Amino acid sequence: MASEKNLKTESGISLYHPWVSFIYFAAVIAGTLLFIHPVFTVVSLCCAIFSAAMINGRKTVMATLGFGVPMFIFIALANPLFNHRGATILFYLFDNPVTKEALIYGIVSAGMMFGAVVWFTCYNTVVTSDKFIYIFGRILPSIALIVSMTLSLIPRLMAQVKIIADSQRSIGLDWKSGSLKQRIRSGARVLSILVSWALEDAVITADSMRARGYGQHKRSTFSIFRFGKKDAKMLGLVLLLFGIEIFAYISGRGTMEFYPAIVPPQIDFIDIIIYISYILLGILPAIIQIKEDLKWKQLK
Amino acid sequence: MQKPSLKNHRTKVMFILVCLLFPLALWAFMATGAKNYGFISIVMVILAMIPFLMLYEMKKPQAREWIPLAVMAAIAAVGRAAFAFVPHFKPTSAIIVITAMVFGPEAGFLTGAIAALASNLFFGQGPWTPWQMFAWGLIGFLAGLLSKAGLLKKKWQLIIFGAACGFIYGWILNIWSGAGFVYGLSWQSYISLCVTSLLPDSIHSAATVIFLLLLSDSWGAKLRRVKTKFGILAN
Repeated sequence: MASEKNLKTESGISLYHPWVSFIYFAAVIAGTLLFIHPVFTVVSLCCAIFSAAMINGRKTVMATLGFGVPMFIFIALANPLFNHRGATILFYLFDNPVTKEALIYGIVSAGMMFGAVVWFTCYNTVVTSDKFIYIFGRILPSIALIVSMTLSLIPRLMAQVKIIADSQRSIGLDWKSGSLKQRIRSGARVLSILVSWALEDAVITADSMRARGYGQHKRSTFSIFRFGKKDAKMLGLVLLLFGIEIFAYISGRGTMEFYPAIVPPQIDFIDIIIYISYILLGILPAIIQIKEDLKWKQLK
Repeated sequence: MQKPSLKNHRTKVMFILVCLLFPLALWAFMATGAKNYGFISIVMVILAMIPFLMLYEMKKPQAREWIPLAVMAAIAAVGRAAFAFVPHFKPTSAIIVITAMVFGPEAGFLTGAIAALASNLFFGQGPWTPWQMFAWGLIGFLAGLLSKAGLLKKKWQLIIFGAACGFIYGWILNIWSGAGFVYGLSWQSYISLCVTSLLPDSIHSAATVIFLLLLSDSWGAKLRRVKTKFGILAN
C-alpha cells in the first residue's frame, strides 16, 4: 500500500539507499526516546513536524496533529495526576498534591511521545514495506519473508472477507444487523469461513513456492537499490551526528534532573555543539528536500 | 521424531528468555529508579526479536511449515481491524491462543509477535510496537506451554486463561505507558494505571473468552486438519 503512495512523492530522503534512511530514522527516533530534556524534546518535536510537513504533505500532518495534540494533552496531564513527587506544590486535587515538577516532566515526556509518533509517520512514508523487506531480507531472510507474506495476505484476506460477508448476507446472516450477540456470531462465522479458505490457499502457495525453487538461492528483492557515493556521504554524516548523540547520552548531557526540584542545566560550549548537531540531524530531510527543489528550479 | 531434544532445548531457552529475562530487565529498570525509558524500550525490542532469531533463522524452515503461521497472524491482524468499531473488543488474542494450542509455544510466540508487527503496519507503528509484539507473543507462548501440559483441554480452563489474556496484555502495555510518561514509575503509580485500565482490559478479556468459546473447537479442528494433512510442524 505504501509503495503506491511513494511513487508520487519519491523525493528527498526517499531517494537514498534504504539503509541510509533506515539508520537515519533509527537515529532520530532513538534520540527522541532517550533524551528526557526540554531542549532536545523541543528540537525533536519541531523538526519532526517540519519534516513531516515536507515528507507527508500538509494535509497528512494536520491529521497527525489532530490525533497527536489530544494525546499530548492527555500524557502531559496524566503525569502530575499519577506522580506526586516534586518540591513545588501548585495545588491539591482530591487531597493529592499536584507539583510543578511533575507537570513539567509530563509536558516534556508528552512532547517526547508526540515527537516519536510524528517521526514514525515520516518513517512509514519513507521506509516503505519493500525497503523494510530489502533491509531485513539480507540479515534475517526468513523473518523478512514471513512478515512480507503476512503483509501481502492482509489485503487479500480483507477482500475475501468482503466476498464471504456478501454471500452470508444474501442467505440472511448479515453481521451488520441484529442484536450484538447475533452480530458477534455472524462476524465469527465469517472469520471461520475465512480460516478454512486461507489455510488451504496458503499451503498451496507454499508448495508452489517450493516448486519454483524457494530456499535454493539467496533471496532477491522486488526493488533494486544501489549504494552509491551520494549514499556513502549521507550515511557518513548521519553516523557522525548519531555518534555525537550517543556521546551526549553517555556523558549525561541529554538528561535533566526533575525531582525533587528542577535544576536548569548549565549550558557550556560542548552542549551548544551537541544542540547544533541535534538540530542538524532533525532538519536533514528538510535540507535535502530544499536543496533538491532549488536544483530543480535552477535546471528549469 | 528425529530431534526432540533440540526442540525441548530451544523451548527451555525461550522459556528462560521470556519468563526470566523479561522480569529481570523490568526489575533492573525499577531498581534504577525507572528513569530510563529508552533503555527499557531497547531491551523490549531485543526481547521481542530474540525468539524469532533463534527459531526461524537457525533451523531454516520449509515454507509450508511457517505459512500457516503467517496466515493466522494475518487473520489476527484482520480481526483486529474488523472489530475496530468496538473499542478494545478484538479477536486477536483468541486467534493467537488457538494457533498456539495447535502448533506449540514457539509458533505461538511467533504468531503473536508477527500479528502485532503486521497489523501495526496498517494501524501505524510507534514506540508501542515492540511492547505489543512481546505482549501478544507472550500470550501465544503461554498458551502453547499450557496446552502442551494438557491444561487447556477443559472449557473452564480455557475461560480462565482467556480472561487472563486481556490483563496480561493490558498490564504489559501499562508498563510501556507508565515508563513512557510517568517519571520514576513506582509500584503505586503502576497499580493506579492498572486500575484505570480495568475497563478496557476487562473488555479485551471478555472478547478473548467469547471468541475462544466460539472459535476454539472449529478452528482448532481446522488447524489440526491442515497440520495432519500437510504434515506441518510435525517434529
